[in-house]
Amino acid sequence: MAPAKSSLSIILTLLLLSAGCLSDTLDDGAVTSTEEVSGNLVIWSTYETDSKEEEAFLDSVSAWQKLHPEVELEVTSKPFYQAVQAYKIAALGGEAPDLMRFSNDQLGSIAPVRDRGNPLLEDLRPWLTPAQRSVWDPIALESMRYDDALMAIPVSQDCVSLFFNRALFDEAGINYPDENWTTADFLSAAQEMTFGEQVGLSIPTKDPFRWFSLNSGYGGSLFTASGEANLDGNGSADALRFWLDLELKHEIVPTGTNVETMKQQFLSGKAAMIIDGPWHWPTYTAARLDVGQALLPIVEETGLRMSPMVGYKGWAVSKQSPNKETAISMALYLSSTEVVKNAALETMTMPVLINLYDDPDIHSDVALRGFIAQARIGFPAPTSKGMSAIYDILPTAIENSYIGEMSTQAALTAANQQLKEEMQ
Amino acid sequence: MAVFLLPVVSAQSLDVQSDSSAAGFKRVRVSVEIDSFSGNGSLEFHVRETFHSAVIIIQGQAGEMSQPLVGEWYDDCWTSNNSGLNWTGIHRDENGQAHAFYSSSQTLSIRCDLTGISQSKEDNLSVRLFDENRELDRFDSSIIALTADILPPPPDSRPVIFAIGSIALTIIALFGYLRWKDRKSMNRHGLAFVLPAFLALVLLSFYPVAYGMVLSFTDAHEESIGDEEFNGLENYLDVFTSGGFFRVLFFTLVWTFTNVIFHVGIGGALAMLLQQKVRGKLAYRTLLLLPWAIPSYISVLVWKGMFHPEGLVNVLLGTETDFFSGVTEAQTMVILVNIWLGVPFMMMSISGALQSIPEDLHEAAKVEGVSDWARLRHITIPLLKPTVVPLALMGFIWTFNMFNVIFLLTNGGPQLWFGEPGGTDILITYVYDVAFVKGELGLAAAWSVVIFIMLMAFSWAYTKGSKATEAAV
Repeated sequence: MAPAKSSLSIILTLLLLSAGCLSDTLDDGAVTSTEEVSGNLVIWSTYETDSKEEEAFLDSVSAWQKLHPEVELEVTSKPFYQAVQAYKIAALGGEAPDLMRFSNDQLGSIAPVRDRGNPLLEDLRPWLTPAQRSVWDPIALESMRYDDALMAIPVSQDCVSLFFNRALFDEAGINYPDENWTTADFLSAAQEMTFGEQVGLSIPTKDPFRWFSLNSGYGGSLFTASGEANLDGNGSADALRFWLDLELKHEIVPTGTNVETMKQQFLSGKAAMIIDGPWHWPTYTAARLDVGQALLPIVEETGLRMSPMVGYKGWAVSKQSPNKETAISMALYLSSTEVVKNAALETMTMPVLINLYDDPDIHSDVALRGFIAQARIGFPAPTSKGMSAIYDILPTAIENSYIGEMSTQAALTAANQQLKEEMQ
Repeated sequence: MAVFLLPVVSAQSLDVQSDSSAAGFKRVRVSVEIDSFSGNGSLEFHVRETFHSAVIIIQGQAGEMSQPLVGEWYDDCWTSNNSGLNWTGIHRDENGQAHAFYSSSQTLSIRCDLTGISQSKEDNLSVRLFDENRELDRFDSSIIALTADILPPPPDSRPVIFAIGSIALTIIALFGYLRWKDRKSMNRHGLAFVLPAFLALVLLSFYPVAYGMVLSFTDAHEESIGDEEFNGLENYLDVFTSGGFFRVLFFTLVWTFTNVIFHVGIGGALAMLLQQKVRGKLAYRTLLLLPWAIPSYISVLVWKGMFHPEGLVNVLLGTETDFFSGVTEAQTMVILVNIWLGVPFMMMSISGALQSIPEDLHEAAKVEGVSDWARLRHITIPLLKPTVVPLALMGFIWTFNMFNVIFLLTNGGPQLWFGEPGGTDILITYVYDVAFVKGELGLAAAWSVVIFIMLMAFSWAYTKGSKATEAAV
């Protein structure tokens, strides 16, 4: 028994001692990254699965791979709306991808996160020369910044505009929307085309993103010039009332429409107009819909044009990546003129490269030209914690106004107060 | 920190010096002295034979241009009119173009931290001085950035491994001691059989709970992970004083009790029906098992689609009702869907228990002329109790913590309260928002501990009250 007991105590002692020593190289963690374009590169994209955008992206990745066969690539698709959560969890577990695509409001949610004092994303300011940076639209570049740091390399921009079904307009004998259209024209056309199973307009009324454009048409803004919350500012309450009335009073929008049902109604030819972005354009044209695109109308009461919020997307590099040089090389390739132009022509992804704004090939595409025209009268989405919080807070105000629990003014004032608290 | 200095090169009007480490990662600090420059011109930096950046030199005042703070711009530049004794940040126009202003013909010093410089190999640097029309002077050399990239340390798993190791060793030691103490018993090997399961339970269940409890007394937040500080009972005060705590607690209890009552009631009734001699019993049983056989998230999404204003239910009713728009309607919907999901499990479990009741008892009762109702009350139900009581307890705990049905069906909405739980949020779905949407990890841990204590208290009271353990023996 005695030898058995002493063996047990030796094993126990060894186990106890080894418990704290199972992880290596943890002392200071300072590791120098390599500068060679080599090694493994893990990329998480957030394109819609099996979409034309994803196809174009994968083609670009393959083309880069041919140039750099020594690099081992692992490309994974993540749902766009879960991108932030997926990245945070992976990064906090030390498993962040080297490169990931984010929108600027997503950057506003990830940038403040600190793990033992370290950010999760690399500040790309030192990586690029001023000449390299000058190729991008300064607004797009600015939208990739959080505080002072540059969190991603911009690659595209998008915003909503008015889509219409030409066939339904022809049937109703109504002229297509043009740049002089007002909200009164818009409303009257939608009412005229609402009968039976057909609706004049399909929009997700509880989706703040599309409401932002009407809000700006009424003179409202999400933040003041100094960055303070301004949800209940000038005209916002009227904008929200008009927006909800499209469904509740005028009944030209089907009850409970969300983004997916809006898409289905338009695809099935049941909706004459929708407010949507270029990311869905290839889907509509592939369905052989005779779809048209127009600028969002001018608000009758104010004379201001509805101006959509322009979101920007870019490629961010993980702070943990040991292959930053390779990751940045890939990001620069994905935002190069050739790749971006190709994506623009194939998938309607709007470029942020200055030299492509006036590119003749891009200008020859009527829809793409229309989207760019719409984006140019939009306002840039702020990259801030406040902007991320708006998507959680505004739905509460919209819901309260929708069910009549609060007036639109009271609901937006309460939302503004909440936003102020969260921004603190 | 290594400092890499290139030799100073004098030209007729241009002296350049570079420092490879002063400016930081991927940067090189280049200092240029320009003698007796007058008029307007520009200083251009070229790296790898490619234009890098330029500083426009202007005799005059900055006017309305701004002088950014250090670090605010990407590549910082400074200027000095007294040979580098006093440096002032360089002004920028609205496009970020750097402008150096000077007042009279004198030595002008310009210093820039050039970005995008290679660390692995030397790059060519060319500094060129232009007046308005021509190149006045040029300096060529090579530069390299020497400051290393500091990668964040990998996740520090040492405390966790140490804690788990200590727990494991303590348990092993405890079991070793018990085994030694029990050495004369015939059952001493029993402890060895129990050990692996007990170890797994401690490491996978008890340890995370204990860690969560520790976290609940800290100010852990996603913006300061790893730098948590003890904040006493602050998180618990926040939980109990937070708006909506009692509302969400009330709905959690309504949700749990309603679901468990219907699960056991309908499951039990169906099990008894299927116990009878019914034609096509197998088909019924298979059909009733379907909700359990289909992955729950698929079922929930199907229900969500069916209850949509344009979904099947509305099509059949000829209405356009939004079943999830009002709080009461949405709460009813989530409960209905969860009842549908939970019944098959209870039915199967109770069905198994029913089959274990000896048929002789029923037959003897029948011979004695006992009615069906009396047999149910005095034979079936008492004999089912040892199965149903723990089942109901398990169902209670599962339902109390049922996350996916509410998350997928309503995501806690309709959201009518600012900064508070939504209309169909239960405690567990709200904790998710606190932790992963708001990033308040310490507060979320406190909410979790409150849930844990509630469940512990209920389980204890229920077990004691129903004498479930005794009944099962």
